[in-house]
Amino acid sequence: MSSFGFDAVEAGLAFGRARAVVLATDAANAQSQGFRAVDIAPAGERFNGLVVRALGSGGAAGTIERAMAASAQNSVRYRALADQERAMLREFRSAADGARR
Amino acid sequence: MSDAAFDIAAGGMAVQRSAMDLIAENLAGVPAGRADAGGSSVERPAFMPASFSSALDDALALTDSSDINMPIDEDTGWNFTSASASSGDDTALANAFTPAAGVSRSGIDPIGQMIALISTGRAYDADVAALQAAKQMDVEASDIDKY
Repeated sequence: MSSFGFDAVEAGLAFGRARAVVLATDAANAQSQGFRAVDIAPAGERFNGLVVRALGSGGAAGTIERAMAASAQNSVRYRALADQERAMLREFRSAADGARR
Repeated sequence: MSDAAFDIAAGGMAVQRSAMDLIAENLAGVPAGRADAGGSSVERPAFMPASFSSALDDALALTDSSDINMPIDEDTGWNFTSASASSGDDTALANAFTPAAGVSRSGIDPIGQMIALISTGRAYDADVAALQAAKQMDVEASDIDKY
């Protein structure tokens, strides 16, 4: 197994944590006067960069609903990546146990 | 994981709770704007009555009772009047329920306050969702090594 697999999954996990903060900020400030919601997207060759996107004004209600939906999506994606990392670690362990025998 | 998402979501929830309190105060103060207190043109209660009965007493004290023609039921003590009971004279009903002085409508828009209440409740839901997502992510992160 290449270390790139681990790097990519861990970059994805780090991105998920950063996006959770951004979405929490959007939800908390949705009703603030003049607040512009933003979102982030992964970027870079190894997905370790970030692109910040300003979202169109959908009003407070639109920002709140979007933040809730994006938060749920981000949570599911984070869980999938965590499952992936767990599976890769399990595979690592199996390989190490096999080599020991 | 950093606690930033928790802090932000919790801060947002605190703000929404304060907003809920303010909206509740505004709604409670809707009929309480008193003309002699300068009325209430902003969305804050002009005053907070200690109790409904004392507020009613204050309002009645400012009203010339001779303007109000409400027969008192001897058994119940209630003041009854209606358009049909006052021989079709609608002005009697209007006088009975419209004090001549002392009480006026406030400048608070109850519909707007109800909309703000719903919007604030939804924003609180969004903060709770963000908090739960952050918590779930923490749990997932701590479970990675449980393979």
